[in-house]
Amino acid sequence: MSLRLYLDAAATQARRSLTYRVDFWVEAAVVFFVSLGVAWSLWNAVFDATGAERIAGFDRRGMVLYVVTVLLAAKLVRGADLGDAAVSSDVFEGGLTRYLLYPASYRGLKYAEHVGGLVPSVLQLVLFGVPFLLLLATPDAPVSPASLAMGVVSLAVANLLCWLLLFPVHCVAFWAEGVWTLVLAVRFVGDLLGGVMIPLGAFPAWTRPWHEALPFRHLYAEPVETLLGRRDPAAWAGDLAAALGWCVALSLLGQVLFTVGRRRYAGPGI
Amino acid sequence: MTRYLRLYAHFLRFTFARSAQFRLDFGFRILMDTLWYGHYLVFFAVVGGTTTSLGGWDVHQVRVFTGTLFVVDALQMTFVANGMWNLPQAINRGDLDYHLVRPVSTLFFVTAREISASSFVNLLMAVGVLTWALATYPGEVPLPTLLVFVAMLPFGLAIHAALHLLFLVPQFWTQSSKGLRDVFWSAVNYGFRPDGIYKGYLRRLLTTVIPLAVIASYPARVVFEGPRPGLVLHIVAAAVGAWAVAVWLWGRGLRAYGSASS
Repeated sequence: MSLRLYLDAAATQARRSLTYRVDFWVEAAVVFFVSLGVAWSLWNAVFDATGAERIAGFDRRGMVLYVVTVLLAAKLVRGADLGDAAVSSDVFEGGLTRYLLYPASYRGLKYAEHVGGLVPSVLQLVLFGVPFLLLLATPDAPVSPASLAMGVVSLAVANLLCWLLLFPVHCVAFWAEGVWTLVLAVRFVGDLLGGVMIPLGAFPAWTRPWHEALPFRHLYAEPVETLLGRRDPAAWAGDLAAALGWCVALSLLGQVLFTVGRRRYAGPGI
Repeated sequence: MTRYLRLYAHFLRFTFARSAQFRLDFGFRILMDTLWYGHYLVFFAVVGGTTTSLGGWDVHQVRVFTGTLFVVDALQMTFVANGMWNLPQAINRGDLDYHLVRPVSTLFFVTAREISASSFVNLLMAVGVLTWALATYPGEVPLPTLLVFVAMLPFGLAIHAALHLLFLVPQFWTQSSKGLRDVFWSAVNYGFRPDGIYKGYLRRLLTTVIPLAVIASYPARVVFEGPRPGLVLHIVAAAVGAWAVAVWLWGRGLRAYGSASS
């Protein structure tokens, strides 16, 4: 009964996310190529200026492949972290009331909806990621069926981790307005320290303990490097365990904040 | 003109009164903008660690560019961003009806009404970063050059605002402009990198048709290359051109506007 409810919620959100076809194609193609153009121009300029064969552990083709994969993976990991379906919107606009009446966990339903909303990102990853993987085959990215399988698992865990990381942030809506600014703040930090803006190999060596102490590398850099065949199974398993540990800790924090916040909840317009 | 200035003074007063009511929100926004500045400073520092020249600029020039970018961004976050963010909803839900009947320019009202007091605090921070970058810049910056540079910053803001508007106005004809909004927020990153990294047709496109690369790079070039008439004219022409197209499209959009669900 319960599982079916979650599947229904995911399916409904999946249909909803594909309602605006023009938006889908604009997002799929234009946003992707525009973002790729920015990153390509930057790294091309850096390679030209230095004359180096490799930067941050990648040659030119490897860097393009990393950028393509991380751009597509980031969308899949984040999903719709803002907007009218966000947890903070439910709290602030009163949408939470109806969920409290449902015979299912609020967090479970919201995550099911979140997963359903990922359909466009999955399609984009396949549509653009696969051709680039085939076109830009390089020894820097020894992609294999095993690396793809491990990468898919890492992406699934990264998506859950990202959602659990933002859940406590959304819960701040029980106490304050303007939670979207906090969500964006987390996104800025995550993009920088998670390897979306720059591969983590470009950071100076002394920053490595910081990267290892924070959860952001599990969001983007590790799943992408796994997909590209740059991580061995032992390192992958260790990172996955660490990411799941973060999931547990953040889930507990989210549960505490949600329980305390619910006591303050008084419907719309708090 | 006096009426518009008076109206703007009211907008400012309302803004600060509202900010005093939502103090936590005020703090959150300052935090967000501070992290935005921080993540760009780290980004350019890390990229600078891999190369001695980025788009032909050394580390000091990239710093001046970054400070310029922060000031232009803080100006747009303070004076236009809130209005722009609310525009699609106003068109979609028919809220624009209330603005259309007012005896002032609708475009002025919807884009200038929402001023962000918290971003004004960040504007001070951005000015601080720019001042530091200029103070540590080893080249000589004569006072006339500095004055022309400062005068060019509002034109950077004008280009940013006009291009943002151009990506929002299609909402008059489409049900949703989310896709185009996302395109804008991705495309604006072209302006957040030194223009020297763009080559060939892409460079021509980004400095003329869609002058995103002009927003911060060209004012910064005034500091490095001096106030060349060609450079200054380019910035001014890009701002005027972008606004002319945006205002024209806005007019067409208003004609297509059919209240709620348009």
